[in-house]
Amino acid sequence: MKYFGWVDEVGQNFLFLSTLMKSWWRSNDLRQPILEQTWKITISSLSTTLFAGFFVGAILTVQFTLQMREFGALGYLGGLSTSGIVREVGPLLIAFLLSGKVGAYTSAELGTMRVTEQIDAIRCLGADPLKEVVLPRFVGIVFSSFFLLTFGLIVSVFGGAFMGYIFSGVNFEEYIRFIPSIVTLPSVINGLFKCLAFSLVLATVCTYKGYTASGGARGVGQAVVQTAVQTMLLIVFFDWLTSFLMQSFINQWMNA
Amino acid sequence: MSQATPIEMKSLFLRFGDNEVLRDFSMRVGEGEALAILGPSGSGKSSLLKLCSGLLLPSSGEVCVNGASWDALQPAELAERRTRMGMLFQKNALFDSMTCIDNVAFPLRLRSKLTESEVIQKSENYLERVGLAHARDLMPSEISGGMQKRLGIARALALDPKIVLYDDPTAGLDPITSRKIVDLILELKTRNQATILVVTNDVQRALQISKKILIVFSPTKILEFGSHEEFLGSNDEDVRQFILSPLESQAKRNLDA
Repeated sequence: MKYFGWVDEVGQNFLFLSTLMKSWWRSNDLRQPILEQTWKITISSLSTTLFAGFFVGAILTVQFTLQMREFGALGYLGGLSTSGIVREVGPLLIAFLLSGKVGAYTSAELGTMRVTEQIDAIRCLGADPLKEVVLPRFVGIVFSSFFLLTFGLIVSVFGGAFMGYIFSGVNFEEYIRFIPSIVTLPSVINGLFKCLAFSLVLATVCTYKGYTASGGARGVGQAVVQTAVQTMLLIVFFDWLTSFLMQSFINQWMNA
Repeated sequence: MSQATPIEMKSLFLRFGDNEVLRDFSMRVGEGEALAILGPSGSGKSSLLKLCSGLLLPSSGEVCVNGASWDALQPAELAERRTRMGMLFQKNALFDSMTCIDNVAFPLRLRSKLTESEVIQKSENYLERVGLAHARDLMPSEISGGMQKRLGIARALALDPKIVLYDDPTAGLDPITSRKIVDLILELKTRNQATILVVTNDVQRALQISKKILIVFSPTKILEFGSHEEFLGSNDEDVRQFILSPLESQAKRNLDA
């Protein structure tokens, strides 16, 4: 059965998510702590996302240039590069980056609170640690990650355009000319839906792993490693799943 | 109308996997009483406190606090009852991202209907009572071990609980600071007319805290003594070993050698 331990892990994540949602439903007003967490996470990760987003766009543009120059199709560089960024590479790479930064931080923070009995202390003071500590972080991560991923995608388009000018000799007007015809509304929805799915995966895994950590410093270390590994695996899985579902949905919609 | 017993344990069994911690254990602590719980490390003393606070649930049996079993309470009732209890953790469990005053104010902000200025005033009063008024804006990591204990006590007492559980309040402290901490616990007990349970490894401090002493050796060997005379006059070999101070034990071993 141990070979199917990951199934159990995924199930535990879903159960934890449902407990959190119930806790949210019962909570009166968490706007202030949620806003605080969202602001804190967004500000702390903004510069990293800006940097990563810019270079994701730049990398993809360089790769497309190498392929397209041979066919004399550099006019399509902006459209194809942006499509690749928005639909696939952008959300994936930026989500990986956030899993390392936001996920590891939150998992370590909650794990430390767990092993130093701060979570138990909150319960002893008559409060619900899920509501007081975990929920604001969870919702904060979902909101801020969604914003950061979307922001990262926009920056990556500019990164691509900049590299298109520097490396490929394609000016800005030419770079963006075919973007509207190649990067269609369904592509943008696809990209944004992925951003939302990845944000939920990241928030669920890191809060669950941190909250259930045990066994002192070693336990916290394990929780952080497991957060990084599980988040990345689940992001890859959900990347495939959302691509598959969105494509099927879009095909049906187009045929209808 | 008679008051319900603050703490009562009935036929408790506690197991962690194959490891049995308690077997058919019962006890009661009356209103305003103090109980010192002694025992070697790993014998289950802290688990007893966690059972009292509802952080642990027994494998079978019943833990009643003020007449209500933890098992029978809904989450909201459980939370409400917990506000009437205070707990000092063995390693203090202070909120390390908050200042000293915010640690004390945390339960007041969450569970009382006081205004922010009243919360601050009450927190400052408690910090003053435990001698930490000067450390108001310091972080827990910036104060000494003894001060952290006192801060933990202030936080545990912030909601004026009628039952207070102390898990090894003098662990790792020098004898002078230990004595001061126990004096503080007793002073606050008298002032709040609280029922207290204190886990300790220190016989001297246990005798200072309470006439009633519970000593936990193993799941099947838990002895209760109603007075110091009964405890100090015990013929049980394990109890004798425990009462002998480390210096006396060493002297005895030297003589035997």
